[in-house]
Amino acid sequence: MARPGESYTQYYQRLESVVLRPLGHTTPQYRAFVFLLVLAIGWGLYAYLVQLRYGLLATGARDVVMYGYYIVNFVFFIGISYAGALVSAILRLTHAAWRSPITRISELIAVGGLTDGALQPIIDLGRPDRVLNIVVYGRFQSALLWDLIAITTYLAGSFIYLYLPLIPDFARLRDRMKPGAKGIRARLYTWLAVGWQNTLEQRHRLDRAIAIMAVAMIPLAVSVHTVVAFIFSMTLRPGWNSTIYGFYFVIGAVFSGTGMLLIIIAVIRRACHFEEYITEKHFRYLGYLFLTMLLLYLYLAFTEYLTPAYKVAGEDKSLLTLLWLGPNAPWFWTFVVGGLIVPGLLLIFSRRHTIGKVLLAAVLVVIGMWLKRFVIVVPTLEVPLMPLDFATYAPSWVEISIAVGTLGGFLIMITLAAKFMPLISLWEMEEHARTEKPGESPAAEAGQ
Amino acid sequence: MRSRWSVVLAGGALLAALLIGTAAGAQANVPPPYAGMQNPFPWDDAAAQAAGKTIYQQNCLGCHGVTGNGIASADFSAKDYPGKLETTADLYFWIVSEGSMDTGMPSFKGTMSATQRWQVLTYIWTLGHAPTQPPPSGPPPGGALAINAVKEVAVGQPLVMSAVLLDTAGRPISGWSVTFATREDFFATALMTVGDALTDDQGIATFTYVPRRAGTTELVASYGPLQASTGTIVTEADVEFYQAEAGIRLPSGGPPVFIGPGSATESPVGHAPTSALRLPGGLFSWLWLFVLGLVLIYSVYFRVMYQVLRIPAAGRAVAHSPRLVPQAGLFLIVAMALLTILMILTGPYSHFHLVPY
Repeated sequence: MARPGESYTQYYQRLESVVLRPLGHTTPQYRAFVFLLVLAIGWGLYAYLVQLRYGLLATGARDVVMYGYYIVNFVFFIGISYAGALVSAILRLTHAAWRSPITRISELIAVGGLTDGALQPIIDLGRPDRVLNIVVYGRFQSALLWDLIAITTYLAGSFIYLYLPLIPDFARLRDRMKPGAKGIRARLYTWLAVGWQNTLEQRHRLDRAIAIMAVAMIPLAVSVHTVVAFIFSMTLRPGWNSTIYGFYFVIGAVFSGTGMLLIIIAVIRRACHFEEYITEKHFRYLGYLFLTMLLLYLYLAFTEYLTPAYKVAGEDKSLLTLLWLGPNAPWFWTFVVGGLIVPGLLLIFSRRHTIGKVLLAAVLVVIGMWLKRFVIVVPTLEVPLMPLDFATYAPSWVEISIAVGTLGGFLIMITLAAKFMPLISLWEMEEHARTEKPGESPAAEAGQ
Repeated sequence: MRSRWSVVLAGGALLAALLIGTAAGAQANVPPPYAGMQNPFPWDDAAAQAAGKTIYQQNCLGCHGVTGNGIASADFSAKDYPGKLETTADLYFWIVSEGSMDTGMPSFKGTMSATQRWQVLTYIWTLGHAPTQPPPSGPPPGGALAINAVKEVAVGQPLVMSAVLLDTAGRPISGWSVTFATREDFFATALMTVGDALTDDQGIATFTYVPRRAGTTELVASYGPLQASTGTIVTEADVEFYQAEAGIRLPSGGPPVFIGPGSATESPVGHAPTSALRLPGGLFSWLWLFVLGLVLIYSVYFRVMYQVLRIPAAGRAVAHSPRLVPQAGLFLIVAMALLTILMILTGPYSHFHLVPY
């Protein structure tokens, strides 16, 4: 909170020193964390080399169950990236003033999650060089081509959307460098700041660009996750061949994405000492959004299973048996209880100890939603479409290592970004402090 | 309180007993239309067995195998199987009619008449009586194999193939399986097994196959290393028997547009066709809608990046105004837009056998 008697200038100076501190100050914990992540990524890369050498035989996927951890992670990380689009774009469009400390982080999550997710189908190819075939020989009738187009288009958009609000902050970093500095960092900031001097016209152009992108990001994000769902729902397989899948995946993405966002802002808040700016209010408001998404997802999951369960016809019966009573039952019920019911109760009764409860709910939901993606992808493929025995799938060490490396890759993108850009949008924070009613302290809750 | 709990407990126990009872009785109790049914044919009726054999070879052999031991949980060649058939004929008739979801057994009441289903069961009854069929010595060496088939048949009509199998001394080999295949040409040529049949006393194995594609087809019979082949011409049928079609025929704005090298319309064996520019549905193709959507999105990106490009000019004059980032951004946006649109508009011209739309 703003200290009594503090002027705007003093408030800004304190804000800037707190927000920019992580860029110049590296703690031993940070080094240890990066070292751990590098280890995880290195191990994942080694596992990938093994897979390149021996082919997909190194994985647990076979001709019947041909999707495994990679496709689960594909859906999971693309879902995570959704948090960026939703939290940042929707909150910007609705002029929710409390958003400013968390937009940058959510935009980073969008870019990181999407890059990581988009890599997964390529990892899933025994011959990654053949990914070019989809560019050269792709047929418009193929849902895979739609996916490639949707993901690349959205990726381009997320990079632009991350970059635009960074320009004034890059300019500030450029101005804070020692005069005449010629290092690579100084040069990069100069390029990225594109001559920003905070003139009225520059401000006008930037505001306009951000507003356009905020509008464009929402339908784009919806389209990406719908098309990811189409890869499944366009097939004639039990469980997948469902009309609600597009919307179901979109809601699932917002749900798990918000969970991941909550975890990451909690970690950054603690590690970078942003407690003054990322407050309990953010957890409370995001908690409301989180609970809404949880209830929507619960409703959709209920209809998803009731529709086939009422008929129990053909392969649906086999699938439901596999899910509810068969070898996949532990994962399914962990998702239902640990990923929906317990987090739901935690969020409903979160008036006291808000941060702790919302955070615990977020961790449970992220784990539960990963399991849910597993339960979507694998059991359907275990149901034979011909009179064969039920197939089984168990990940090999290669897949587990690559999955851990993937998570490491996602986290290191955000961790390294903390050394290169302010994780809180400084200029937007200042702007909101300035637009508050006179007489209020600069850091008082705005927009309520 | 105590009495309320006892009511709940009693109710629960009753429900559990009911559930267990239903589950246990599900398999044993044959439901009404089938319960108590009896085979209209005597089990040793040779005519019914022969008719059943043909049906078995067309519908059952794929999973249950030539001798009936293809699926262990339903081993027709077991010695006790004929006895089970005789005592609980209604149960087996029910399973053949309705199928069994748990085991993957399909339902046949839609494709076979009741008579045919009983004929199949009558034939299955013989499998348990058959002499232990592979003799310990293994398949006898074949000396000669010949295949016969009609020279011309229409699509959708049964094509009867018969193979004669003789041993090295010229005597017929009976009771052994001959495999029938057709040579199919998709992107590569290969033999596609269509089924097996057992040789009879004269060493003749007969198999009926329904061709679905018109054209000259090579039919191949094989027994061990022996192979024999013959050709047949499958003609187009008057009625449309089976014709794959690429989607619904939308109202089109003219013939499909196709611009590409001549090689793109050929289907070279072993290779995928090359990509070419295609507009399904003619010049006013629905594909333009998707292109339009992409153009819209990328123009938004372009416009936004252009605003960034103009930022330096809107500032106070400085010695150097770096435009490298927005320039690279604009270039990337244009390149990605072009590539994506090309990806939508081009593709390999495949599925030559489909009705063009």
